[in-house]
This record gives sequence, structure tokens and C-alpha cells, in this order.
Amino acid sequence: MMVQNQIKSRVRKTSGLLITILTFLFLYLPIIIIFLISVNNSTRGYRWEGFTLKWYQDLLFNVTNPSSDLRIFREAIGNTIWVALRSTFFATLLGTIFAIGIHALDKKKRVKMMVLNNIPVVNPDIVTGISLMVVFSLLSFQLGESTVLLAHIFFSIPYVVLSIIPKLKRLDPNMYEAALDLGCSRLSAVWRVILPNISTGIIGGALIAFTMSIDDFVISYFTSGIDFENVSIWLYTKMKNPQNLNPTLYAYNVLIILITIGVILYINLKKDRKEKIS
Amino acid sequence: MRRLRPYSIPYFIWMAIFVLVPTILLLFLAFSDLNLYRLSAFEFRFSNFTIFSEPFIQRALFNSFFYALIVTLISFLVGYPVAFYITTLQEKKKKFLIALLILPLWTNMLVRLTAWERIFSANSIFSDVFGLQIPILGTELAVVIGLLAMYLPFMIFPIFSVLDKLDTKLIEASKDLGASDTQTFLRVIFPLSLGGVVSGFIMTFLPSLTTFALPEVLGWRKVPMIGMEIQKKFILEGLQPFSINQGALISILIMLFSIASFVLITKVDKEGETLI
Amino acid sequence: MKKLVLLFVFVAALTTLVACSQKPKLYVLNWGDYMDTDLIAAFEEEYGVQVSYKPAGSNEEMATLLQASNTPYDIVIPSDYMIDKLIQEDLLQEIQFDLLTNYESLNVIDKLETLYQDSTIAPYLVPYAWGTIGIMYNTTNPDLKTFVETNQWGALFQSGSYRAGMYDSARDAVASALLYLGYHVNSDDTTELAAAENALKNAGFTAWGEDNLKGLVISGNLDLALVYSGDYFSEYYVALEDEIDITFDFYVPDVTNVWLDAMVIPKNSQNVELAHQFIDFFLRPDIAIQNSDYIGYAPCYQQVYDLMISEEYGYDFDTFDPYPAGAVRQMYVYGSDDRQNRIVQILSRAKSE
Repeated sequence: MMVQNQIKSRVRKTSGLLITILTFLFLYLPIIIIFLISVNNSTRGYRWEGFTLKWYQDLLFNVTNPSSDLRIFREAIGNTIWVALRSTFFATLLGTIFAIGIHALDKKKRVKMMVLNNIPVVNPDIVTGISLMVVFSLLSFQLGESTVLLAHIFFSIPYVVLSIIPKLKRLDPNMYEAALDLGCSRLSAVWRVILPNISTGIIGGALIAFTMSIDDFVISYFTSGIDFENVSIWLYTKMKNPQNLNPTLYAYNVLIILITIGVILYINLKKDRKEKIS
Repeated sequence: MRRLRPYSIPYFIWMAIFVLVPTILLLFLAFSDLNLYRLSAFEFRFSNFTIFSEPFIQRALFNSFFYALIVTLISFLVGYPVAFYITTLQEKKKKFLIALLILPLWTNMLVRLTAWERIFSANSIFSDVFGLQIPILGTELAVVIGLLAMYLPFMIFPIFSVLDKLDTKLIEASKDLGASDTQTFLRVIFPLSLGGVVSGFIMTFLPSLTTFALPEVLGWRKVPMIGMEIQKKFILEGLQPFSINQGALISILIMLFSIASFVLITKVDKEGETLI
Repeated sequence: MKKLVLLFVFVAALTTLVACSQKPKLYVLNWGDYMDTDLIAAFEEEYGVQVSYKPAGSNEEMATLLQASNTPYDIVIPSDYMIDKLIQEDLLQEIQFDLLTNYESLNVIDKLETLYQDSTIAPYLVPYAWGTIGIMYNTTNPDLKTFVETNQWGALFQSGSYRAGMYDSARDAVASALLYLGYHVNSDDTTELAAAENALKNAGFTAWGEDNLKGLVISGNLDLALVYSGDYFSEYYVALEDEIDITFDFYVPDVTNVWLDAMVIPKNSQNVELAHQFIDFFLRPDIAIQNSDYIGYAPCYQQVYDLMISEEYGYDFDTFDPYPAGAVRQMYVYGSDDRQNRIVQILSRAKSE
């Protein structure tokens, strides 16, 4: 009986490992291709024509004579990052305020507000994109950078709220009352008591908001109108003519991955050091 | 804490503008002949429903639900074991693997799409470097595999998240009471992870249902899906009379379906926390 | 930490609320890869303005974008039949030809001018490019050339074991089907259109696409595809320049469509004078030649054409002529909204087979 169980658990463990490895290979296959295209010596990037690092060079260092394609791409990158930073900022700010407000409501109202909060999360992005496009058209807003920013803030706030609410729940409500009793103003109590304790929620929410904004395609596509191009929109229109797709795009993506790895490693090392010290 | 309530009022107004107003507008568009760009007198009518009699719309709806279902099921059958396996590992390995899982999601989805396009081409960088040819562009298989590649991680995360937080004492208790591994799984672990499973289902099913760039690229525009039809009605054929109205109607249908799914979540998890 | 946050708030608020730049901005809506981006940059520099260039994939998409009043484009470059429709929808304004200093010294090529000069659309447009639709095919298989030349449009619709690609455009897909069946591209006859729908459904195209079709033929992922004439030529010039082997060729069937793309100015443009200067810029002979070379389509003006074939530039236009003497060419007209609905429906139905 013991041996049988041991064999069973061995089999389970190996099959678990196997399926995990296969899954990761499957998910990483496109990443490998992206890497290959970024080092491929071909303007079209479709067939393999030898190894080169010139796309990285072009993307990062070409300041004297960038082609107009490159300039447009860099502008798209700039747009993407700038919108992501601002939308994250406002979404986190507003999301924190709203989360605190929602948490203070009584149960019935809170549930209703959370339902409302979760609608943008559950709605497929094409429906959200079209809804926003329709609203902006009705209000005769010129579609462009501001509408995209507004749209991004709109769909990011719910995620921030969702990230903060659980942390608020674990907060001892008496601390806030105690602070007030000790003479703090409402604002001061919030700033000094509540916020530090939900800081992980705020940071988590900000990270999610940033990721959602940087990678967004569908919602930006419907709300960008004539003027605004972020990397996704730029790529979508270029995809219809893939031969002229500048491989620097792939170099950019590989760099993003490397930066992300760097950030994760850095955070982990910091944590390890903190643990070692304490 | 009560005095902090007013902070939530602006949110209510904000959501009212951005969620309720568009929905009402879409309803108006769907059930009338209102022209979005030339607001004038309009009349209510049901004739927009004729769009559903078109065979290609029916095909698109069927395809979308069918593929979304297949992708969700396969994601579940593959994702649950993977999530489970990762939870059995040591803390460091766990974090490492989860980070590794998130990493591909940080590349732009469209860029990964172009990578899959090359993988499924007869003659491309993939066939040059790997010596394999998988020329399935334009087929339903390519679309389904593509969807799987995009949304499988979204099934794994919620399940892992829930499994990881499981109180191991419950499992120990179950074993102490004489249950076999299988019984422990079926009666203790799985039911407790249901919240994550439902979350994963929703996060995989809904995006697969409404995707539009993916079938366009991997399906070579031959594989109809409802997301593409909605895009066509609003952006590509918008000058056609009533095109936007029909598009709005289809959008409402999809929206109803998502809200129904959402109600399902709230039945399983009452706090509204499952989604993260 | 607090100060940093406040600074960031200030900067963010500032940039969000205040208009981006002082330079006037021109909004151009055009087909993808249909204008030399270096030339646009040159225009920006010379006039000290910004140009926002947005590509659209089809005339229909352009029309959708135009009708939305919250997208004030200044320059659009649609095709003949769509210009017709846009005028009917009262979305365009007439060109003020006296603002175009270069226009007087140019003559539109005769054959092209006769196509539109008597119609109602003439006062609203400045010709940009013209061409035909045809079949581009991969030359690695030697039999394919004879196959295409013998079967003409049939090569696409009864491709057999060859992998054929079709353009995802209602107008062009239906037109090629009508030409294949021997009907006129503007046919509004119920039976003829039904036959076209069947032909498209039964053709079993390997891929539907837009600009990417030419790339698929060149890379060998398709054997043949419907393309616009300039698609072939732009690839041809690029291949010559990069000194790559040319493994593709272009065939124009005896009876085909001839089309004209032109610059028009929408009614709600907010920079009418600058728009005219933009058009004028592209009417300069040297600019026109460079642009023509980039996009690969035939120039519309006799002087530009003459310059291009002269010793100085040395283009060979024997195969370039969209309308050779004695050829049969049919130009699209808009027809009616009903017909447009019908061909859009035909396309949707055909693609889902």
C-alpha cells in the first residue's frame, strides 16, 4: 500500500512537471521567435538572413539620421509610455480615494458599488471600447490623446479599487477612530493611518494599471481617432503590410522583457537582503 | 469610517457617465434607426434584428462561442494541473515560475501575434531556423491554438492564487481522517478552489469570445468571429446606413452575456474579490 | 517623496490640460504605405508644421472616419467611386485650384482625364495616382505563368492546386468576380451579382488580405493574388534596389478595372489653406517623381511622366501604362446605397465559406 502510494505520487509529480514544462515551452515559443526576428539581418524580417545587432543599435542609438519610420515608431513608444504613466497616476490616485469611500459604505450600497466597479473589468474590451467611442462621439469630443487617456483611466480605476479593497478589509477600523480621537483631522488620519497600511494594495493596483495601459490595444483603437498612435495601434496598421514592419519593434519588445526581468530580480534581491538583515 | 463615505459619490457619478450612459446610448442605437453622427429625429424599430438572419453572422456567433468553449476547456485541463504542480514547489521556485509565466504577457499581444503568424507560415523565419513547416494559417486550428497561447496564463493565475492560499491544515485533516489522495482532492481541494476556477473560466472565455485581431491575422480573414463583425460594423463599414445600429445590437448581445457570466461569479464568491 | 509626487502631479496636469504644441497640424488620411514618409517630413520642415498621417485599409474605412464630425481630417485620398459617394453625402469641399501654384503648369495625362473630366466629381479632386487591378504571381513554378496568362481571371477563381489570395475589399472582390464571369464591374443585375457571390464562395481562396497579399506571394506563402498595379511595381523597385532575386511577376488581364485615387479636402477641415499647400507640394515635379517611385503607381501628369522616362531618371513605362491603346478598361461608379449594401453583403458571405 505504501509503495503503491509512493509510485502514485511519483507519477503525479513527474506528469505535473512534464505538463508544466510543455506549457512553458508553448508559451515561450513566440518569445523565441520575437528574439530571433530582433537579431535577424533582414529589413522585412520574414526569412532568416543572418545574425545582427543593428536593430538594437538603430532603436537606441540612432539619433543623427533616423528614418521617418523609426521616428514615427519612437513617437508611438513615447505616446504609449507617457499615457501609461499618467493614466496609472490618476487611476491610482482616484482609485485609492474611491476605494476608501466604498469601504466606508454600508453593506448594501457597497455591494452595489462593487457591481458597478466590476462591470468594466468583466466587459470584453471591444464592448468597452465601442461604448467609450460612442459616448465621446455623442459629446463631440475630438478623438485623440485626451480621449485615450480618459479611457485608460476609466478602465484602470476598477483594478486599483479591486486591489485596495481587500487590504482595507484587514485594516482595524478602530485605528482610524483612534487617530481622530487623538486630534487628527480627517485628512491627516487618512494620510497617516490608512494609507501606510494599504500601501501594498496601492502599489499592486498601480502595477496592474500600468500593465493594462501599456499593453492596451482594443480600447485605444476605438478611442484614438485621427491623431493618436500608441505602439499597439501603430503595429496593427503596420501588420496589414507586414513586409515593411521595421524589426526595431522586436528589439523594443526584447528590451522590455529584459528590463522586466531586471526589475523583478532587483525587487527579489532587495527582499532577500531585507530578510537577511531582519 | 462613516464620515469617509462622501469619497465614493464622485465615483458613482463617474461610473454613471462612463458605464450607464454608453449602455443606454447603445440600446437606443440598437433599437432604432438613429444615426450616431447626425443626431436627428429617429424612430424605434426592431428591424436591426435582421442582421441575425445573415448566415455569416450566425456562423461568426457559433464559431466564437465554440472556439471560446474549446479554448477554455483545454486551458482548464492543462492549467489546473500546472497551477497545482507549482503550488507543490518550494517558495522560491514558486515565485520564479509565476514570474516566468507573467513575462510573456508583458510583450505586446499583437507582437506575439505576428510571431505566431510566422510560426504557422509555410516559409518564414520559423521554418528557416527550426526546419519545421506548420502551414496552418487560415485554418480554425491556427485560431484556436493562437487563442490558447494568449489566454492560458489567465486560467492558471486565478487557480494558482486560490490554491496557494489554501489552508494546508485542511488537507492534513482530510488525510488524518483516512481519505485517499483522490478523495482529498475531489472533496476538499477542488471545491475550495472553485472560486479561482470560475475566475479563470471568465478570464479565458470572454476575451476569446470577442477577439478580433487574432482571427484576422491567424485566420487569414477566412475564419469568422463575432469580434471582427462588430469591428466591421463600427469602423470598416460605418458609412453604410444602419451599420452602426446593427453593430450596437450585436454588442448589446455580447454585453448581456458578459453580465450573465458576472452574475455567476457573484454567486460563487460574494465579496467581489475573486477577480484579482 | 511628497515633493516628487507634487511635481509629477503638476507636470501631468499641465501636459494633460494644455494643448500639445503651437505648430499647426495637418491631418492626412490615406491608404497604408501610399505616401513617402520622407517627403512628409520634408513638408513638415519646409512649412514648419506637423503632419499627422493616419493610414486606412479601404475606401469604406475612410468614409466611416470622415463622417464622424469629431475627426476633422484635412486631406483624404480615396478612390473615384468613393469620392462620388462622399460628394453625395456633402462631406467634401471643392478644390480652390487658384491656390495650387503648380497645377497650371501640369497637364493631366489625356487618357486619365477623359475618365473623369466630364463627371460631377471633377471640381473636388486633384489626381494622385491611377492604376489597374491585376494578378501577381510567384515565378518559382514555371507553369504558373502560362496558367495565369491562359485563364486570366479564372486563374484566381479556379486556382485548383495553386494557393490564391483575394483582396478584402467589397468593390474589388466583386468586380474581379464579375470580370471573371464576363460581366461589367458596375453591374447591378440581381442574377449577375448572385453569380458573382457564388463564384467568390466556390473559389476557395487560401487567404483574404489587403497589402499583405503581395508579401505572401513574394515569400512563397501564396502562389498568386489579386493586387493593385502599384503593389507589384513598388516591390519590383525595392527588389532592384536591394539587388534581391525577383521571383514574382504581374499580369493584367485583357479586361480589367482602371481606377483613380485623388486628393480631396473634407468640408470640416480646419486648415484649408495649409491643405492646399500640401497638395501643391506634391505637385512639384521632383516631389511627384520621388513619391511615384516610392508608391510604385503611375504618375498622373504628362510632364512628370515625360521627366520620368527621360534620360535623367530612366524609368521604363512600357509595362507601366494602366491604359494601353486598344485595351478595355472599366471604371467604378458608386451606383446606389442598395448596391453598396449588396456587395458588402456578398463579401461577408463569401469570406465565411
